[in-house]
Amino acid sequence: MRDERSLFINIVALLILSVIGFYIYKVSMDTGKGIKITDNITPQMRVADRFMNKNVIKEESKYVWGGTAENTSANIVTSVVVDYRLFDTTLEVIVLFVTILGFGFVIPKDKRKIIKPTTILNRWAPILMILMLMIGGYMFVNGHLSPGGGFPAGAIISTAVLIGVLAGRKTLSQKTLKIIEAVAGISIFSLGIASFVITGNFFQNFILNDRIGDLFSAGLIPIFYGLIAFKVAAELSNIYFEFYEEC
Amino acid sequence: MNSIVFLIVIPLIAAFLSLFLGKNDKILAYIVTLFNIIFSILILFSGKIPFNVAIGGWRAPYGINYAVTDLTIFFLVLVNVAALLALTSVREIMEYQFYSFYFVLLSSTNGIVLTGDLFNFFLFIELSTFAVAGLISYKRDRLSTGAALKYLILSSTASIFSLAAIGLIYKTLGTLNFADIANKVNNLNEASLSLILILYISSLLVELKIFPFNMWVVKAYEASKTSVNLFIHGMLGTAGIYGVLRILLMVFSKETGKLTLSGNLSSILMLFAFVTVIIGEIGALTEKNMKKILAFSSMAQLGIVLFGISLGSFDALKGVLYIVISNYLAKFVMFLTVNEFSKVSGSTNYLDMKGLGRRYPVLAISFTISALSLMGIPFFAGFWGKISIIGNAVFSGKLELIGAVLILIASVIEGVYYLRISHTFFSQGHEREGRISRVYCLLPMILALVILFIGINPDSFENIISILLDEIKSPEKYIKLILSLK
Repeated sequence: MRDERSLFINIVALLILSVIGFYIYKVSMDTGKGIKITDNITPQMRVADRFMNKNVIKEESKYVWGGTAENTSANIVTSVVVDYRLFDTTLEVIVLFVTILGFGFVIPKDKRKIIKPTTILNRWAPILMILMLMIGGYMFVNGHLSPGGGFPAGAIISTAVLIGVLAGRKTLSQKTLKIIEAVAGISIFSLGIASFVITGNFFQNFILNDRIGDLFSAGLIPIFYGLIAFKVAAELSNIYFEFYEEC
Repeated sequence: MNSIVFLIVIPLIAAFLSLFLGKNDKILAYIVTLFNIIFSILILFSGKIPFNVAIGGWRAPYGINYAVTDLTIFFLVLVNVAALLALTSVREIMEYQFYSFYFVLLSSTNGIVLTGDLFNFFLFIELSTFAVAGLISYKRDRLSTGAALKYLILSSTASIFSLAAIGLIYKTLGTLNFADIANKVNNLNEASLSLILILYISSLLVELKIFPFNMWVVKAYEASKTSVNLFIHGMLGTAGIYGVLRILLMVFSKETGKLTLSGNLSSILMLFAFVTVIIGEIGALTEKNMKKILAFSSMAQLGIVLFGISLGSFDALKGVLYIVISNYLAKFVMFLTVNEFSKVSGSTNYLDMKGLGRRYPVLAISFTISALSLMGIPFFAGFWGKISIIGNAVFSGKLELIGAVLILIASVIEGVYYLRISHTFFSQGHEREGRISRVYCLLPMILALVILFIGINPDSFENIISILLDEIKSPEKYIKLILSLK
């Protein structure tokens, strides 16, 4: 009975979300700034058009875009974080990994009574989780086009897990998180080695010649951001589990 | 030679793999460490040194770069060999976290030595901090958790300072590259350079175990396993000395060919070194626990190293490199010996180890050789270091003269407590159950023979040191190499 009701509520929530999504799509098409994922008809506007034309210095000044690897990403900050200083960014992720690994050692282990979550939280948790996952996914998919990126996206995705933990729902096991973490970490460095094999330099962007501002552009940057997002999400979720189970 | 980044990337991949391998982690650790040693030795003999590697294909001042010079490769080999030597003392089965921390520490110490970028350097220091804190707390008892927290609080406070210094450098000079900073450092005014140096040095002094930042040392050594002690001593300590040499002498040096710390920073560092030496020696004199004695003693040795660096002459720097290598070898011998003896006697108190030297003379003689080397007795490696530092300090000034006298007094105190221990080893004791395998006696013996070899035949080592000093004397070569100036 309980499971059926929660299933029903989930379906209703999905319906509401799809209606919202449809209206967002309709409004964006009507105003002319359409969301084009495929490129069969050359679209008038790119996804990041507004962002590319935006400037803070003068009204009429504009970035000049070349075709080199340096400015494949429409968001300059992303270029710095995931291209010039990619190695630093990956090391930051490792810092997170190490701190969370050592976390279990330092925190004392006492058992505490866990308070049962309220019905409202329990019922609404899946809906909130879907919203969080959507926003987080949007953040890292669009990391090379607009402000955002892997780290905040990972944090947002991990809040979905946090809500699940608070609502007493079993979402992910710690072993799954460990696997996600390791696979994402290893593939970041394997991509680095791949670029060493292809171009001769570690962590060099080797997918070039795409249109700036498209969803599928900027070569390796979205891939790296996705991996970073998953890794950060897995690591932060690990902390929540650690607190929840060991408090 | 872009493949140099493998030294950092392979251990990091291994850190993730070790989450799943269970008991095979130990084999993985040996494979990765051997890979690092062989790779760095191959680079040493490749004949391409010095060279500069740009990561991501971005040229030096814009992207991150790794520079391999003579100084780098010397410390790189030291760090990786230390990793292998320390790994031999891991006998029991460890959990996967231990190996993960070890791999991260290995990669970060390699990175500290290799990197040519200030922010990258900071990140590696940060990584090594967390890895070491995890390793210290591995035993999960009250003592080790407290020691780890102490170390974490101290080093993260220090890293805030160094991050502030990095921000100031980026604001004033607009660059983070070592060579570029060294190129532009003359544009800085005296006040900002002093501020940056004070903030930055504070974080380096934590790794170097110098007085106001060394409360973590003794507890951390006492609370952790012998292998972890050796990681801290051999890998982190050695990499920290490299950082001080590179950053103080080559990046922030205003005149070439001379160590010029702005204002009276040099005398402040000297005072810190004095207090460190005094605390270290007196602490070791009153202590009965062997691990604590060794911790205090390594503090004192690093105080002498800092004194030598702050003297600001190249003869003293030669002495510093001798002391670094003698302390590096001697502490390995001592920790390995103490590890074996404490297993047989069941405690780390040296009074309980009575008579073990008669049953295992190889270990006890190796211990005595390294103790004599640390004291600075002639024909042992430490002698050549102490004599060039003291000989340089005596005629330099008042403060330096005090330092020279202090080092001599410290040698006497070291003699008292180390020879007391050696005497206890060789005095008559009672029979014991446990046995030490002869294989474990082999490694301390070889290291002690190396100490003797360097002490008797210093010319062999002098050649290496003169190459290193040539590099420190002319930072403009480093700048030209990295910025590819003509």
